Amino acid sequence: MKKFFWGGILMILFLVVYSVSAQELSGYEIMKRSLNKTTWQDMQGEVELILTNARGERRVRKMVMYSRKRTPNESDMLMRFTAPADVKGTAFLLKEHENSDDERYLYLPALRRVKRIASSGKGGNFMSSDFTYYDIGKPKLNDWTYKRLPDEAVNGRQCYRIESLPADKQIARDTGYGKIIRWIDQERLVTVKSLYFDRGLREWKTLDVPMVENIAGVWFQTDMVMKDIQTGHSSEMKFYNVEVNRGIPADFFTRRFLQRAR
Amino acid sequence: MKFRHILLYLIFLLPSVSLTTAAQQVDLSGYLKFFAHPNLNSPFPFDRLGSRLQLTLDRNLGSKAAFFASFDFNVEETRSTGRLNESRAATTEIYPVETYIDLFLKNLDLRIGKQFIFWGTADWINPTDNLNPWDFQNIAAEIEDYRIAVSALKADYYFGDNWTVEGVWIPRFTPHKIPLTAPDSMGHLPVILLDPTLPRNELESSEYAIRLASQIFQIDYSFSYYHGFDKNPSVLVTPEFDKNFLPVRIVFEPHYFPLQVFGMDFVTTAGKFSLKGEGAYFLTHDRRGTDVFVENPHIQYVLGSDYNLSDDISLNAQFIQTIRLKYDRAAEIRRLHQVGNPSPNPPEKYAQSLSGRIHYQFADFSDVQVIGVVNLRDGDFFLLPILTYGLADGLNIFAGATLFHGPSGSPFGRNEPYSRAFLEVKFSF
Repeated sequence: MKKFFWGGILMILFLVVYSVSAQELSGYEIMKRSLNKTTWQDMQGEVELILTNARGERRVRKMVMYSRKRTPNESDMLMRFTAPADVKGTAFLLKEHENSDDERYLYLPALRRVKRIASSGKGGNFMSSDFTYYDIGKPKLNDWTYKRLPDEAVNGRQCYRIESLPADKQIARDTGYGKIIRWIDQERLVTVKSLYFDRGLREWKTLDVPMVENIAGVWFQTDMVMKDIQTGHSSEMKFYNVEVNRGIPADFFTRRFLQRAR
Repeated sequence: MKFRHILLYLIFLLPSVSLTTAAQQVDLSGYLKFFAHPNLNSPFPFDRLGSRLQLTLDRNLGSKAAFFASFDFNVEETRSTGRLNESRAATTEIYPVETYIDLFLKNLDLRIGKQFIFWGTADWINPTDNLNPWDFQNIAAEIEDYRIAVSALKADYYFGDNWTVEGVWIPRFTPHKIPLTAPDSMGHLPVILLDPTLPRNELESSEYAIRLASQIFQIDYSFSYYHGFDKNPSVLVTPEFDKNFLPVRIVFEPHYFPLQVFGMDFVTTAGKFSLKGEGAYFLTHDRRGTDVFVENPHIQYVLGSDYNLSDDISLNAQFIQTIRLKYDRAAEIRRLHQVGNPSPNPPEKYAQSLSGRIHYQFADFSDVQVIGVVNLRDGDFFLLPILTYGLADGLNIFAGATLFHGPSGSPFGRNEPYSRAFLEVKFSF
């Protein structure tokens, strides 16, 4: 009887401490935990990108994606289209640089050439979708200031709600965003919903995350839907067969492998 | 190989290939295309009209090798003579586009077979790109239409942080496909145009090239060397005499002379701009610059930039200059008079051109691009507008034109009779 009594007291104390801790976390601290949670050294997977215009017309792009961290803040990514047939074999290589322009290379099988391409900025559309390069990359914590808003549930799961504002005008210009509100799952520390505003602070896009999976101990958004409220366009990005920490070598992310058909 | 033999070969080969079977990992892909290219000069005949099936087989042979084979089955209705006894196969051509084997070793990649090899960072005008000839009679949407693959051995050796040495050996020379014309007469003398004299089919007449590429401060650069032949013919003009030493006719003989090219290129990016340059020194057969029929040694370079105005609009602009060395235009005019050219108009020592491209995605699955080149001396130009509409995944419509215009003796003005529109519907699978 005494055991149950003291066990109950401990449980209550734990819940109080936990809820107090949760309530005391600032927006910055929550974002920091979310961005710094354990991630992988490398990953590969298949991606399906479904583009839908305002008239409901759909185009489906399939690709294989490889990614590897070169440094804690720089990654390399190589993607190769596998469908549809008219873009099959097209490949894209991105080498991030923290302190200078990213390197981008495009291999067009129809032209048999590798082209170095200029950046359209982090705010540029990724593969003609509604996702930007900023959206698919890892945000830099200090590029934004954060304010915690009242918590809210999404799909039955309790979430932190964080409002992010650009730390300076250059960030707003680069990303195209004037404000972002994120819903971050309190247990999994993964974004499950976002609302994006343009630089005029008009609602611009919404991100919904219908599927989150635990892969090698990290919660990963395996299905994301980005809708452009202003144009009616939407893009869905689905990940399949994701594998992590396979030891992808650094020299895989070179023009040599970009030109290989597979 | 005759058409029937090719067909029999494929009938036996294709059943052994299944679409991406797990056991064999052979991919069968390709496209089916309808094309119509009406000439834009009255009476607007069709320069090309027909359809094409391209079949491509590629397969991994483990992780160390792969093969690629692509064939075109081309039906060209303009070949039909309309005669009653004409074979149905008269309008049909079957030819390889590329057929090669890849070997992947630790730091070395080898490719042997019929292939495309394109060098250079500039757009459309590449002084260092001398390995695959052009088919200038066939500027159209597909690269296999206006460039010709060559049988070659290519080796790429990778070393150090970012270094690549590429070597190419092409055993047999293939020239550009250029319409060769001659006047009916010069003065009162008739003119005959002979068949081109190609380099002899022997080892000494093979072409080879080497390129060293690397990167420094995020600038990709390369140096290259080509040893082979000028793919543009030099047309030698000589009179023929009778036994009384009186001229009876003028003979035009196209000839392909040796050529060496020393080249370099670079490309880098800065924000939304990419900056690129490419240049080469052409050491031609006419080293002293005294032969009016052979191109002088010259330098050609291209400087340009790409700019992404927005996600939907991208721009490209380039400046091109050719500098003819050991060149005296007045002396050139005198020599041309001496060989019977009544109104010679040789090029200037310095020739400049501008090129540009604008690409605009104006709707979700549609885009338009316009490519143009203008020669500043004569104002002659080439324009290539292309409208692309994606009907569905893998199904596209292309419409556009290849337009040449300028004074009759100018490089693009001479090609004005070849201006054409095109409409193509392509299904890729």
